[in-house]
Amino acid sequence: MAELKLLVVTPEETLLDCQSEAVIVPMIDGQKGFLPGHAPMIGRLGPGVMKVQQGGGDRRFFLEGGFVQMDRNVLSVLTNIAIPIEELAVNQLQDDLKALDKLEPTTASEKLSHQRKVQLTKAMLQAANQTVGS
Amino acid sequence: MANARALDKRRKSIKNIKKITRTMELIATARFKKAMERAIAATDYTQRMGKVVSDLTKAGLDVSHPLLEPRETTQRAVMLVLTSNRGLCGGYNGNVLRLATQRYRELKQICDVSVDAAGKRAISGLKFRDIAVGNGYLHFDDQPKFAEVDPIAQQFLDMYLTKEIDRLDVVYTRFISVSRQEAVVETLLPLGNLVLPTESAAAAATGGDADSTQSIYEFVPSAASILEEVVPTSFKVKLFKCFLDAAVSEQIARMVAMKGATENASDMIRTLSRTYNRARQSQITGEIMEVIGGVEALSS
Repeated sequence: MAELKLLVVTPEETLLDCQSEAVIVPMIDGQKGFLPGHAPMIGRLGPGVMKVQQGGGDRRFFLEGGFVQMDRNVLSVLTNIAIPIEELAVNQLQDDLKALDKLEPTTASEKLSHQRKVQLTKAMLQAANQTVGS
Repeated sequence: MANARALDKRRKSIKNIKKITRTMELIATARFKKAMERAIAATDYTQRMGKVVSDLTKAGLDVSHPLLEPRETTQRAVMLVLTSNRGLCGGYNGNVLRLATQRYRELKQICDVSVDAAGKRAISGLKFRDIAVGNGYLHFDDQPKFAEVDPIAQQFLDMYLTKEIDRLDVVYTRFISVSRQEAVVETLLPLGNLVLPTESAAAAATGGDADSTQSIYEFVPSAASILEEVVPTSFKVKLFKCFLDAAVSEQIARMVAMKGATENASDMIRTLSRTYNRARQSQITGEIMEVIGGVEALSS
């Protein structure tokens, strides 16, 4: 079966360098699947779950956002945060969200960062819940 | 003549110091290797970022973003100073602080400046120079994590976008090679250009051979939307690189400083041993002279 090469790179390290049969990434406006031989493209990622299919099973990662670049059967995923779904703790995230709800930011820049944190935590929580459900 | 016993005591204490500095040198070497590995692992991301940027520009996109354009008037500036938490690393912290003080005075003349600092040495050093430090970060060790740098970067971005600040300068030690690091001031906001000079060279090198089979990209959802994400990310990565460089340079500085200290201790032990041996010999000679003197006094 044809395979594509997948690279998941964070600013700290190359997290994943492997072959895969199909990859589904979370885009800013939905999801997108990549099969081997996909046409060259650059896309913007949104927070969500990336699914990597390998030999029957699949691995899931939470991505915070970033970019995806497909070129010559190499799929590079550039993201700030990539966490294997198993490592997301639902309880911890719920506590974090509650703590964030209590905060009341005052300045404009604080409001921006607060909003972002809430969104990120909600996205992580959603991703973690999905895995528990499936 | 110096007291032989006092000399011996001193020699012993220097031997102990030598053991300590030697160990610190070895620790710094080990940490340097780790920090270096991390710094190398991080270049992969910056190179790929550079590739995306160059592909974007090749697609004929007009690169413009609020973060890239300098403000007409600079009213408030922030200076971020990166030093170590611990000393015993030669001129590492001193060089950064000297440059920071100089830049602080320059900026003070044109606008309001607030200073943020990472590392105990910067906080105490700036306090000594009568410069008030706003935010102090102490949690950075020899392996700064992106998750730790990210909130700081995001905070600066938000402050810049909401016009709370008009400029961000970072004072840190840039890692050039294992034998060369220098303290530099870099203006990270406004960003100016997107790619670091080393990356653009690397991108040119990798892009050069690929030009013949240049891929025509599809941009999803649009090139402009991707650019919106690329610019803040490249700022964050640049700031992260500053932290990584500072960490690597710190370990090298400590390694060199401790190597020097160990060598100096060896030299000192050598001269002290010589003086001690002389003192002991002269003491023995003195005692023999006394005995001979006593014998001669008896026989006469």
